[in-house]
Amino acid sequence: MSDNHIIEQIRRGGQVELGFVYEQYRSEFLHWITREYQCSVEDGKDIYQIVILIFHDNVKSGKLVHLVSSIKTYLFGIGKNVVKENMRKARRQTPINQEKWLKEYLIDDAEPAPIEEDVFATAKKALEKLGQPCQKLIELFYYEKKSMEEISSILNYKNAETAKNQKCKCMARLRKIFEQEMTNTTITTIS
Amino acid sequence: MKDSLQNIELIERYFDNEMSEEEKVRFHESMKSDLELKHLFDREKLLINTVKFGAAKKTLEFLKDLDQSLPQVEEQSNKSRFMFAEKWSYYVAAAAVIGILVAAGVFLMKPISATPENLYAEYFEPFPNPFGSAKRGGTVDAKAEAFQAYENKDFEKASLLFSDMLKKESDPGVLFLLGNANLAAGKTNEAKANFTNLINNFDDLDTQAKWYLSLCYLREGEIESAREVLVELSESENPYATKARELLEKVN
Repeated sequence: MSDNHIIEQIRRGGQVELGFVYEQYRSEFLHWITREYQCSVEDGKDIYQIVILIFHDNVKSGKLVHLVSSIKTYLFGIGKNVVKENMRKARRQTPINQEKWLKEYLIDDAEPAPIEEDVFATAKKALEKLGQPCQKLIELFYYEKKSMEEISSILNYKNAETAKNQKCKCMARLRKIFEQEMTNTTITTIS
Repeated sequence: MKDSLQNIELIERYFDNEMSEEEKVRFHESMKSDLELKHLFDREKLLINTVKFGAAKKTLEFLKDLDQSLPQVEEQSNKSRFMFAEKWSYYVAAAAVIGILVAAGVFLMKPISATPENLYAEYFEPFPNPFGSAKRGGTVDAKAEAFQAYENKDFEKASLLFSDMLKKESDPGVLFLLGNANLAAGKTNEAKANFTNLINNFDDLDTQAKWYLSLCYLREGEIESAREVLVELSESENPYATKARELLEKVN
């Protein structure tokens, strides 16, 4: 199985192939990072998992279509950047905070606004209340970056147009639940 | 707050990448003076980021589960941390421990002979469910039900549901999980057929399929066949090479 073939499978949603990549380079990466940056194996694993998530995201978003080098070189390259970035942010070498990293990585716009933890918690609650299949649908669209055609086939909708309508309805519901939750939180805080 | 329909449409077009670059510039300009639009935009961005974050966390959980099933990677000793005296006491202690282990090993190893069935039980662990849990309320479709059954270790049910999925659409990932479900459910011959099918007819997941096929052979007591596959795995660079070499030694 060639590297570009694996990438194509992951792009199509192949989670097993993502697991294969994780296994394939794990041992070598951990030996390298613990030696190079004097960190423990457990801290190395936290970094490696972030590296795999970034690789996954780059494949899905189309930033990585064909490799010039190899998956291994690509992963080690991301690894170096993650460590440097972590050192820059923390101003010293500290274990990586995976949750914090994920949040900052996913907010990839030019003018990032700091997320208030309580507002973020309310948004998470609203998403849980949204339920299925809405949750799955918007996850496929915004995280997996699937097209409406692909979503209609995965979730058995009549066509792409129906999937798009459903997505708009789901987002409208999510906004409504979020506003209700925000109001409830405010009332609770005041009383 | 009431959402203006026109603003919501604009925001959806922005986040769904349906705006031209020129429209995007105009959109950002309007936000500077339209506070309601800016508020709705920030809310939409927060909700979408929450969706992405939740999904990324599920993938992270899958990687953590997978990691648990993989061999431990040893910490590398940092020589500069040890002073000579510490080193000396360390060596003495290590020698004592090794002595005890060797003695215990001689004592313990003698009466026990590893049967293929025992080795199978020692090494078999179903591949973690890569698709996450689907138990989040609401309707659950057939695919989600199959993955949920697999995650709940209801391998009989997972096997049936995966087979149904494969009748509709060929998928190496699902075939691989079907093999795992069958093996875990004790249907070794079916599992063997699944892994052989994966190796012969698909380009993906050959290494993983070979590892689990070797375990099928061990479970059935077909030592020669198991050995053949393990030799193949141990001779190439792959994630199962170390485990294959280790198991091969025990089989021999």
